[in-house]
Amino acid sequence: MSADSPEPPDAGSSSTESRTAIHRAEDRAGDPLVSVRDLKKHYPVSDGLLNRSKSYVKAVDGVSFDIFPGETFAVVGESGCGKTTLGKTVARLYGATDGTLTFDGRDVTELEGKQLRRLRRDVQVVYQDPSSSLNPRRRIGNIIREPLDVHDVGTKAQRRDRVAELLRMVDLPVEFRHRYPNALSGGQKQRVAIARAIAVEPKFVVLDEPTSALDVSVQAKVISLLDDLQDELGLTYLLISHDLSLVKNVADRIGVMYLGNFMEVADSRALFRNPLNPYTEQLLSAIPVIESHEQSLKPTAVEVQGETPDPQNPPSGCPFNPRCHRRFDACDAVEPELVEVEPGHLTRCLHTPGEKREEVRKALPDGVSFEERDGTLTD
Amino acid sequence: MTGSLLDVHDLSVSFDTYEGRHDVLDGVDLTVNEGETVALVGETGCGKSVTARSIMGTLPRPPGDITSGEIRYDGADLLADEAAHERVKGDEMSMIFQDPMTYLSPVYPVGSMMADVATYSGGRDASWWEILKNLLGHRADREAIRERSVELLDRMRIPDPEGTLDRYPVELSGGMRQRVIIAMALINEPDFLIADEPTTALDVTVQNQILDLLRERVEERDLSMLYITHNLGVAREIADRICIMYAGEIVEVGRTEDIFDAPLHPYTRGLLESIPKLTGFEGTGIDGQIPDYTDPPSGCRFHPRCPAAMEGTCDVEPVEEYAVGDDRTVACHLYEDGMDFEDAAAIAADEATYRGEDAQPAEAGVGGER
Repeated sequence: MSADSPEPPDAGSSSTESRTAIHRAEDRAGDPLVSVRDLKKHYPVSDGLLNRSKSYVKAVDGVSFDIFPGETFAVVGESGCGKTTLGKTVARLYGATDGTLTFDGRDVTELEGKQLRRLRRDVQVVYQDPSSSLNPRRRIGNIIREPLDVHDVGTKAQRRDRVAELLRMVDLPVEFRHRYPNALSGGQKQRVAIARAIAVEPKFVVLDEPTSALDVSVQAKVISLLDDLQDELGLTYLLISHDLSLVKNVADRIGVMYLGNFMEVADSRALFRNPLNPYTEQLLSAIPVIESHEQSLKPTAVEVQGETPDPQNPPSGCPFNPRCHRRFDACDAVEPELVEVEPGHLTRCLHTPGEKREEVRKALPDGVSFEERDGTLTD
Repeated sequence: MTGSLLDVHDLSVSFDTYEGRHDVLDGVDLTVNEGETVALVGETGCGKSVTARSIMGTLPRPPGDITSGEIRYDGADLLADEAAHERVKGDEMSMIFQDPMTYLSPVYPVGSMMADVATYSGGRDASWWEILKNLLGHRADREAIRERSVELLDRMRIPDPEGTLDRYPVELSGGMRQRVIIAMALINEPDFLIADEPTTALDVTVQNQILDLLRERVEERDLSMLYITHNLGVAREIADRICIMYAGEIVEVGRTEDIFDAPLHPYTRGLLESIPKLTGFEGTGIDGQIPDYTDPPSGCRFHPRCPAAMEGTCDVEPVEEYAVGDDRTVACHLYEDGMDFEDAAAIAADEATYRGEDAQPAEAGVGGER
């Protein structure tokens, strides 16, 4: 899970060498564990008398990506960009409005009943706020045992042993099984939530802002625990976060999300070294850093403009165009597609560099010019 | 010290609750000089907001109880002289809060709230006669206040300031609400601002905009500011000096660049190492958790979590603030008063380290990146 450490946990294979580009290409030659194609999740918003006119918030609007076994794929974006909805839809907690979701080679988009329950053994979720994701009236031991009960794993005695084992795995004292969540600190509660998620030996875990509610000194411990568990159990993670510095250090690949869609998808290193999308540039240049040599790793300061628009009323053309510092006249006329510019590096922008540029732009209607507007917000 | 505007000395605050008496602040010393921005940095529950509320005089008492210490603003002792406290907090201080939705009323438009602040500020209470007079209002007064509000909103780069005055907070985005809060804090031209995590609820891109605006305003009007945050990255962007707080005690104070270049206190060092950086992430963290205030550890409050704790010293003797080099104090038994900065930095590097045997060396992440 840590892309930058010298010996990254290469959970897919036993190799401990540094992950090189070639290495990753090999990894990717295998079959993806999770495959998302054109996934959409729209929420109806009713307004008007008798709920006649219905509009939609397109929380996730046509997202496609693959996650390979043993990999950590991170989704970053600002609040309201749809990252949590994406996570929950991929975990099949929400049904998709459209698109397909393949898990381990099987189409699971329409699964129901028993089969869906079977899928839940393989797919687990860790939520942001452990205080609300743990039942305050149940003891820790029962909370961790619940998935084992639901999926009918082992005998009663085996389940009890398993709870003790799980507590040890997340570095909590076994006596904690008798306590209630309110007797635990935030970091300890999140460890319990992690223990519950890995109880049924899932293959794939969706981590929805797993450390956002924690202080940094505690966050570091929880992150290294997740890292170790990924190593030990060969887990595949979908990490949802707004913290770019964190994501840089733990994710193998990153998708930058904005208003329900990916703006850029790339290898963690490539994204930070060479951000292709103006939105990524703005995000990166806004990170508050604490070391002076970190500054040199950020793109040159870009003045950030405006805020995320109302998702019910997205701007026409490229969703990011009203805030973009590289805006053309054409940007509010056409919505660019996500294209692969370099192997594994995709971006959605009319400014796409290199040979793909023409391909992106040929879809432009006649009479749309390429006059570059100045970087200031015009309205 | 000359030029100090706010001087908090040996401030101790306790809270009485059903669980017993919580000794939260334990002898806090804090100085903000004129025209200076000081960041007070610490994790959840370390007493940052209690410090701010004590200064602002908004600490709920009971359950809060200021057991010792003094708060001096421009020479006046605020805790001893309640009238002075009222006057200072009305005329000279303003506060910016973390969550604008809690501090803006949902039922009044922005303009009316700003006018209220401008009209009643500084007063403890208003008589019915005054309220009636203001409701009927001198047209000229009202126009003047409105004009001033528009100007302030415009300075906060709010698009369409006129229209915004007639809108309700729910109609504004998070960043816009925070701008309104800042404009309201500035409407009476304070000299001293207390900002309590004003950007924590915002996205990074918006946070950056707000920080820029705040810095601009502070520089332009030569304001002094106490900026409270848990985010060291934000503190680095805005502050001239930084105070690191742990469990109700200030553990280290220094110029911003000094703190980041050579952190001395083991807690500061642990905090800095715990933050994921673009150059790499060690993921060591700090063991344990913030202590229970009903029974805080004896001696240094950080000793149960400290990798450099010395048995027989740190768990027994209370710590004092030691001056190390110039403009730097650290409350830790590793150091001595009046020590050379170089010596102290060497001790810090030797003793106050969090890397266990299994952890990776810090430089590795950087090497891989460049």
